[in-house]
Parts: sequence; structure tokens; C-alpha cells
Amino acid sequence: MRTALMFLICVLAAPLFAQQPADEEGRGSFRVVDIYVDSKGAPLAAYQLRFSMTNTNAKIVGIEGREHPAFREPPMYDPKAMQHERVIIAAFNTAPSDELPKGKTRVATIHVAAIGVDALQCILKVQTAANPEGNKIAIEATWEERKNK
Amino acid sequence: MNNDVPQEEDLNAPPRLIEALVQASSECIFVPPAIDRAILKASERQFSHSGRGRARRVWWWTRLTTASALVVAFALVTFQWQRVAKGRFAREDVNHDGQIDILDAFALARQVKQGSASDKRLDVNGDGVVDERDVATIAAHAVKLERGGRS
Repeated sequence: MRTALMFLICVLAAPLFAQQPADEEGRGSFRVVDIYVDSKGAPLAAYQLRFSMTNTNAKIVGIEGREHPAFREPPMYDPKAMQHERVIIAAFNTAPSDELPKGKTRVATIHVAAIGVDALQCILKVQTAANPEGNKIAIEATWEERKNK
Repeated sequence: MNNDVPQEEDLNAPPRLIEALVQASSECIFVPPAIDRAILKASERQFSHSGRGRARRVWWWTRLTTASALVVAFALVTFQWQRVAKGRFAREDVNHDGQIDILDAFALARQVKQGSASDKRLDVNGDGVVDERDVATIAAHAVKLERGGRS
């Protein structure tokens, strides 16, 4: 009786521990998108970018800083952007000019969870940027999906 | 008529007409005083009418000028009010560019770093101190999604 009861419990609990079968068509995957900013020779002290994805089944799951020491810390963003398809990222550094990036530099990395998406479709817009004196500068922002995480 | 053209006899006016004309020119025409008074009254009325018309024109010009002055005054007041309204920036708009973005947080961070952030209006979080927490508050405001991250 006791053995039969244990067997029944195991049979009922088995689906809870079983791995979800992979659906080949709707399989989720994690993607990594690198965000680059090119300040075209000017020292970059602050930037604000708007990143959004047009893929309906892609959600932002993480954001981190990158590369240059001045922007190694994750940029500021609204936590509500997590699990959504758009985010505003911004960062600044009050360090002197010689400690700031002057050319193209990777300022952030965005982690994306995508379901059934072949290629990410992203829109990246520069909202503002400034040099160490706080004057607005023209920058170019680009994104690139990393091939291997 | 003393010219070479010969005058014809039958061009002379009839004697009765000539007599009547001579009599008419020598006759003194009597104008009754009532007609004189009537003409005088009519002329007075005419002149008084033109005076009233001038007064009316002056009155209309005064009204028109007053109305124009009021319109100009109203436009000036509106323009001035708009300038004042434009000059009134949000507390978070530290660099006064009309937008709240990361540059405002950056501007305040620079002031805090230099120790020049003494303006109490920059105490955006209302804790009585202007410090890094105000910078963080402005930065959070700048990247907020509901309002598009910008003012």
C-alpha cells in the first residue's frame, strides 16, 4: 500500500519536473546587442539613446555597461523596460577629457530574449550627447547583434 | 459787329422781345425777407450738418484708435506672458534647454562635484540637500519610459 502510494505520487509529480519539450518553431533564444557611440573625435561625457525593437516576440532582459572605463557601469534606464521592447539608456561621466572616449566606443550591451525571431530589428536613436563642458555634441549611435554570446 | 461778313436784315430780334428784355434788365427784383430767412436757415442747417459729421468722424477715429491701442496692448501682454512662461523652467531642467534629459543630471553632477550646487531649487528630491541623490532623481526622470524620457 505504501509503495503504491509513493508510486502514485511520483507519477503525478513527474510532469512538474519534466523538461518542457522544445518547440522547433517557437523556440526562445537569448541575443546580445552591442550599442556603439561614435563621438567623432570629441570627448564623450554624456549620452542618451532610445533603443527599441520592432520584433513582436523580442523582449529586453538585461542591460550592462561596456568597454571604456568611463562607461563600464551599466547605463541608467527605467527598470520597467525589462520584459519590454524599448528602453532609454543614458550615462554620463564627470571625468576630465583625457579620461573619456573620443571615437567609436561600445557603451552598452542589451540582452534580449527572442522567440521565433531570425534577425532582430532594432531602432536606435540619439536623444542627446555632451562633451565634458556640458555642451551638446553630435554623435552617431549604432547597434550590432553579437554573433556569439 | 464790325467784320466783313454781310449781316442779313432778318437776323434782328423782334421789337417786342427787345423791349421785354430791356424792361427785365432794368426791373428791380424784390426778394421777400421770408425767403432770405429760409435760405439763411437752410445754409445754417447745412453748415451745422457738416460740423456734426466732423464730430462724428472724430468720435469714430477716437474709438478706432482706442480699439487699436487695446489690441496692441493685449498682444504685448500676451507676448510678454509667453516669454515669462517660456522662462519658467522645470526644476529638473538644470541647463534650461527646455528638456529634461541626462544632460541635466550631468550638469548638476558637475556642479555637485565642483561644490557650486548651492541653489535650493536644485534640491529636486526635497531632502534639503543638493547632492548625488538629486542627480540620480533627474537621471531617473530622464530615462523614464512613460513620458518618453524627455520633457
